[in-house]
Amino acid sequence: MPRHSIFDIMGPIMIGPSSSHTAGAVRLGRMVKTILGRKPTEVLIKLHGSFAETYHGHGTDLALVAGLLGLSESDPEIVNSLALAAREGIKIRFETVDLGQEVHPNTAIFLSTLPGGEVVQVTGHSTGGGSILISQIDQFKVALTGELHSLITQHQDEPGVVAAVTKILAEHRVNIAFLSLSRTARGEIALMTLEADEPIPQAASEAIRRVKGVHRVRIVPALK
Amino acid sequence: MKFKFNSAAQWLALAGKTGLDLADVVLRAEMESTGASRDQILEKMRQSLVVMRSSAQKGVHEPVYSRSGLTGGAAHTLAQAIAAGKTLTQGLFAKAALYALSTAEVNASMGRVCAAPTAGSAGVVPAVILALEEELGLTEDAVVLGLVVAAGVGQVAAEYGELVGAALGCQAEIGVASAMAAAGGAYLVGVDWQGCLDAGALALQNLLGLVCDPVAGYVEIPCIARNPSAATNALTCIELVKAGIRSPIPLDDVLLAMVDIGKRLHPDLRETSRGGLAITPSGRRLAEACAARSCPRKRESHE
Repeated sequence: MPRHSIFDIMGPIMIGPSSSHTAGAVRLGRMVKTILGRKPTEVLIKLHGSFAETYHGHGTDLALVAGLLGLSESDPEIVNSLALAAREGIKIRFETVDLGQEVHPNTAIFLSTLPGGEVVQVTGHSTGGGSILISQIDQFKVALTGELHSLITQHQDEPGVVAAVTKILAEHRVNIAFLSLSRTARGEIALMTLEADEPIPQAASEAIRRVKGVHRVRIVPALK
Repeated sequence: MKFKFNSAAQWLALAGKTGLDLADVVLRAEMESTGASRDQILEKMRQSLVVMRSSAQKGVHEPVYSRSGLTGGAAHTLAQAIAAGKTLTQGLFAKAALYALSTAEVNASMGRVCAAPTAGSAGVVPAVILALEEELGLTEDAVVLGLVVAAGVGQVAAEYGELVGAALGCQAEIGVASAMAAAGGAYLVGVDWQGCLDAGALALQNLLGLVCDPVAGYVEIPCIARNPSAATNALTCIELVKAGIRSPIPLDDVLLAMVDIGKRLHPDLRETSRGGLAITPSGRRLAEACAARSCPRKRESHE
């Protein structure tokens, strides 16, 4: 089988001008929207590297905001995204930052304020051809591409939590493709990111929410 | 039977062994890998064609300008020259140049395009296919199969290397687009299977070594003008194979050369805007003017 579908070659159908700086940026914004799970009141977007240098001409800023609003990379409304965000009552600000040479050139950091004042920080990269990678959520390192269905839990770092979560997924016939764990310190807050081949059913996420020691559950469906 | 192919030679061998044509082999492989039916795949390709038609026409009817302000209106200018009978070539070549230019300008204006294989090279394949459709009065069903063959060439190319300027230079975007258009176009004018792939080989061979050196980092200079150039290059190669001329170096070997050359290209010439046209005196001046224009919005968004 050729590795690429003919529609990876003849496609995607997208708003120009750049698959990495425009289409990929829309997908990044859409991932952040799903990670947040709720409409933010305010988002500060920090642009680094090539994103910072060329965002205006590539419409990277418009594309990131379009994604935050849930638009697809082929939606002609992308050019109006700043006005659409204003209408939805989301305050958007941009900053250009220099995170250093080691950081991927197409990087955006989203600082989103949710109703109630909680701030969620998400770092993402556009890795070429419309592909993306979310590398950090708050203080936790993650690796989410949007290719598979993801589950993110924030939980107490104690024995049995991970086992309880994976047992629930097994009961719902969800196959885990990738799993990673990180924590702030031993016995403190841990973050599990898990990518699965199947969509994670509502019943499973509700059961996981009830697991002792789980503080928060986020479901991030695959982007395509 | 497996329709897996990773090279042009395997593709051709599958066609020879099964008696299917080039488009059918690609369709069978796609059906195997995605589980979609032939009709579903053709319908999806038809949707790509709808987007291609629209982006090939938009710049013809109205001047389309890029967001950066660096470029725009060229397709409209060329359309007026064609309408006034003031162009050097008419018909196929002039139309292909026009449609390629329009699509590339629509892309730079944040309009909708179908990447083929990338957004920056999106004008080449539609230009050749649509110009042939009009000039030869082809049916839409035939045109869709031409796109399938073009996509097959892109699939083979993607087996050899990453089709992005940052990895292998412009040759991997505009060069591969030209090869796709040449093979798809040759298929549409009834060239034999080997000849179709040879058209692709010749088209890519002509664009080997092309660097990615965009002014100010935007997909505009030289990207926009390279689209009509690669489209007419494809037409020239179709003309050659139609007459029976063959490529001494087959497509697979030309792709090997593309990867070899791409890997040897200095990073300054791979989408970083640190070399080539981007750092010429005029390239730098345009970049500065462009940065100055975008300043007001930069200030706005910092408030």
